[in-house]
Amino acid sequence: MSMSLTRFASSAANGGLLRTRLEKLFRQNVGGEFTFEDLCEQFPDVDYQTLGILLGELVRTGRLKMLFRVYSPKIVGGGIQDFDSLEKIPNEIFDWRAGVNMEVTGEDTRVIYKVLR
Amino acid sequence: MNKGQEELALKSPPPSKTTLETIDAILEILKSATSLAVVSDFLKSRNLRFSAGSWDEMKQKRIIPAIRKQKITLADLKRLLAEAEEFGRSHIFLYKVPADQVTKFFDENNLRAIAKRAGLENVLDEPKVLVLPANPTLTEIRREDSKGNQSLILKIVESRNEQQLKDVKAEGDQILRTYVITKVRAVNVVRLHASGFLEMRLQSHANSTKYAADIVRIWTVIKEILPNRIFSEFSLGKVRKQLLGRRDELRKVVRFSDSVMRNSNGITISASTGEVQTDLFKDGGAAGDSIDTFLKSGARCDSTNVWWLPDNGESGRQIHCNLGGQDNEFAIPANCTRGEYEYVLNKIRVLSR
Repeated sequence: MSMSLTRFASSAANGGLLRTRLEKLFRQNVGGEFTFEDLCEQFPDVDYQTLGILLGELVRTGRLKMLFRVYSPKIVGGGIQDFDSLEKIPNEIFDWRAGVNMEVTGEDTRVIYKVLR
Repeated sequence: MNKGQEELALKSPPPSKTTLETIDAILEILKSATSLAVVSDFLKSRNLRFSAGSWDEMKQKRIIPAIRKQKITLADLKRLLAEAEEFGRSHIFLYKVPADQVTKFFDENNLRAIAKRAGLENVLDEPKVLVLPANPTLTEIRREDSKGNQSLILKIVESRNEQQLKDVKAEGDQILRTYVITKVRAVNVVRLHASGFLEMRLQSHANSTKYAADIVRIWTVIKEILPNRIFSEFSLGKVRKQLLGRRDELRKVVRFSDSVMRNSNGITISASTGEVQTDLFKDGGAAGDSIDTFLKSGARCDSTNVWWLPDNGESGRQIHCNLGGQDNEFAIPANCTRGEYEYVLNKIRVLSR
């Protein structure tokens, strides 16, 4: 019992500290974009679960926008189109960078956190 | 008498069956190539009644009465069709030949003799309107003279199969993908300039980025008029190089979405934007510095996606253009007007000098 409480207290403290660090990063990068992996690299000392929960909160409060970006399989890193949810991504879209229709797979899609304010 | 009364008081005979069939075919093609608004604008420019809520209404109430009253001709409709379907959504392959080797194509009698020998004199006089021909068909040979720039235009229409993914579902230990195959009309245009410059505009494929087989097929269809052996490829290497090298002075002309560079060691560097509206070089210089360093080491631009900005900074559309694929190839993936196409082509030709 006391172990669990200790872990909870430690996690909450880490979460509070991480929130402050995240807010500082986003304040300096309004309009910028981050992937979950970018943030993991930026804050290597935090656990993924806490980071995920905090990002979810920041999305809910409108600080961040979570979008699903489909990338061109032909032009590395070239975004094709952004979607608000996974369900809205069609099976096939026009890859304007390559000039050809593409079948969308999970390999071509990444979650992006865009800093709104 | 107002326009409505005029239409009710028609005295001219109704158009012939052949004319009606041609109108049907033209409107059928226009329906997929453009919008009702474009046809309305065309009628409006002729000071004719132009409103229509559907394509059928446009045909019955606007086009047929206008033809019947000889306010417009079938040739006018064919010109409208040409404007609507000959520009954009295409991969353009450029060629050249010394001007003195093409003078015969710009002499009326010579051209007629060449067309007659090829059994194609009919399409020189009267373009064919084909919706989905069984084989690639040369439907039109025409000359244009724009501001003293003469050109010869050959139009080749063909049917193609395009496939679209309709459904993906798991059944037991199998994943089943269902594709719908649709027959589409493809319009390809070859334009030879009196200077010896030639554009081969191939309608974009939905499912492939390779056009080598199309090029061979089109040259084969037109070989009796324009033999490909006299032409050599017009390289766009210099254009890609100039675009990147002179990007600062061109920043009011062009915006970059991505560039792929390659050096002689086989090393490739790619720089891309995440979003369509972002400018690759507006990130504080980091992308530009990396590209410059790589280019200075002898690398060349392999492909790039750019957006040509409206002229003189006026509001208007940006035209997306891909410079990649073959050395003599560029693409305009979206539909565009003749003016927009000519603008982009002119910019490319200027940068190639």
